[in-house]
Amino acid sequence: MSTILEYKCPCCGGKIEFDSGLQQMKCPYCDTAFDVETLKSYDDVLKEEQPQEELQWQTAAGSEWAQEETAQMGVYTCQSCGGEIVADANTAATHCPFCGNPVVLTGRVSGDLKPDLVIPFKLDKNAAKEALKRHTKGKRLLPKLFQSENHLDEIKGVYVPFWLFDADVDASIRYHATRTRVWSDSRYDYTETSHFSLLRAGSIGFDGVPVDGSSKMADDLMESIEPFDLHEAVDFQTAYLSGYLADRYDVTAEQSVERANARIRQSTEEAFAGTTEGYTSVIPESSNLHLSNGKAKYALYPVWLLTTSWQGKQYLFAMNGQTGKFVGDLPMDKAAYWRWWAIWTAILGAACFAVLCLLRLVGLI
Amino acid sequence: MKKRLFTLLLAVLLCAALALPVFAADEGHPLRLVDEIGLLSPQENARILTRLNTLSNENDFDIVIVLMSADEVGSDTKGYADWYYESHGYGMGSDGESGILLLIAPDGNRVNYAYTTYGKDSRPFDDDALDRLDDAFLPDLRERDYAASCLAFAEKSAEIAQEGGIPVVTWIILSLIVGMLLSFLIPMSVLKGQLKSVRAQCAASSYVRDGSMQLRQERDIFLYRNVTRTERPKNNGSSGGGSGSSHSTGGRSGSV
Repeated sequence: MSTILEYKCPCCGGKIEFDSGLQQMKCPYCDTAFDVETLKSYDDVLKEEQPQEELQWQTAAGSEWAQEETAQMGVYTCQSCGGEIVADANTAATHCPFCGNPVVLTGRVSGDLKPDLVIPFKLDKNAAKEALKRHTKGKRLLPKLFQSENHLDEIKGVYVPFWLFDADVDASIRYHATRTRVWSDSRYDYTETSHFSLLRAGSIGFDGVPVDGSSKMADDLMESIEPFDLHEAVDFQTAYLSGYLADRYDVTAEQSVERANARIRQSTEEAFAGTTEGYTSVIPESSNLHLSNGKAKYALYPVWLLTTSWQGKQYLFAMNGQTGKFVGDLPMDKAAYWRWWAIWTAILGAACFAVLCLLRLVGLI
Repeated sequence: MKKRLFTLLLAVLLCAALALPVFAADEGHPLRLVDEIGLLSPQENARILTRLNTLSNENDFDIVIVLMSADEVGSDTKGYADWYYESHGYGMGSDGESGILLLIAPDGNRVNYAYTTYGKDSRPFDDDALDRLDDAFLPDLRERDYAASCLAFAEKSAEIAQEGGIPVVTWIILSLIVGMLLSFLIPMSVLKGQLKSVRAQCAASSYVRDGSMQLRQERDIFLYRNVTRTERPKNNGSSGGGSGSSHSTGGRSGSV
């Protein structure tokens, strides 16, 4: 059952949010800061005081919405202003569109849907804006007007659901390797190629290989802002979500495991290939991997999402809310591309010509 | 825009490349046409000299013509041609010595002539080429048309010199093509790559548990060995230039 949870300041009753700088809950009205644990107790008291509200699924009579569509939506009542909040089935935390109060839809993060871990935001909105500025600096092919004309449409801090996979891998990999030796006498150049079969067997462990559990988030975008430092993860508490948006997973762990396996396989083969030194070439011929002790954890990771528009197109950027790693593809100025291409062609052409002249000078050509 | 850039680029490269041999050849370079006995009119002299300079620079190969009295030259026409070439500092090309010099020395009713070749770039001047050279300039010399004979000698010498190496223009075009390809491969892909930062991760090496890798089995088994051999290119014994005095690589002499 989903209910709305707002954190109210015990001092002044104002809405309070998680402050990424203090790593505490802070009231923006009276500046009082609270420890998250304190708020957890406060949360419990709040629950005791307020009878559990029923999930208020509402579908208007005679609605034109299809049944599948309404099933994916929910309407909730803001406890501060009484306004109705419409959210899709996967929204776990959002803001009231009327009073702006941060709200947590606790039903979306409770029971089986409750995350095991959360990495709290360490960087705030301003850091994300600064990172966007830095991201667009020094890019020679970026249209010059992009920085001045692009308009920041939206910036939001989102807790993105991730599945974290732990596994021990037992690997047995066979490689074909060659080693070459070259020598000459007065008449011939000789090349000796020795062929080897290399066998490497052993084990390796992985902790917290993340796979994005939200179908709304592009997988490559989420993988681009990795890695997250799992050592800073804490046990999940709804208080961390206050002031941010949050989604619950809609891609299950079973559906995500294939992606985790592919990444684990690649890294295992790379790690064992690192033990085959001293050869000219090493090509894997066969590999047998067995996973054991595999388990998945459900976690929420902090991500800043920025949407800008320029010349009618939208550009999406993402920043790791923990480490500040910023990614997002940028548009290219085609005129600048050809200009730089011409400049580099001139430089490299001249260099090539100089090399030819030099070779001719020393009599090699 | 693109067209303008291309034109500019080509112009800059062509100018730079063509200027190189021109400066190298003409600044302080001895005259390529020396008429000590006034066989050529001033107009003919100017026309032939211009042509000699152009052909020499285009091919990076010195083409020189000397008209001298037989008394001055003496009986050894070829020897005098050699001495003249060496003592006046002629020579161009990769070794700075390559070129050809034609000496014409009228002696009464006869006209003695000799030409001598120098340097590595004179390799195309073999017997066949010398026959073709004779066929080109001797008919006019027999007719005592010195200007036509000199021009024919210059043109044919340039033609033969071209057979020995890649013309400078080809070098420039080749360099440009390589430059274009390289700029696509290296700097442009780097600049373009700056705009793309969204990439899927194919591995999970950041998540390997510290110290978890244990190697249980490590076997390297030798399978077989093969040896291939290729014949080394034969050394043809080319002189390779050097700082000492140069020597004629060939030539002919005669009378008409």
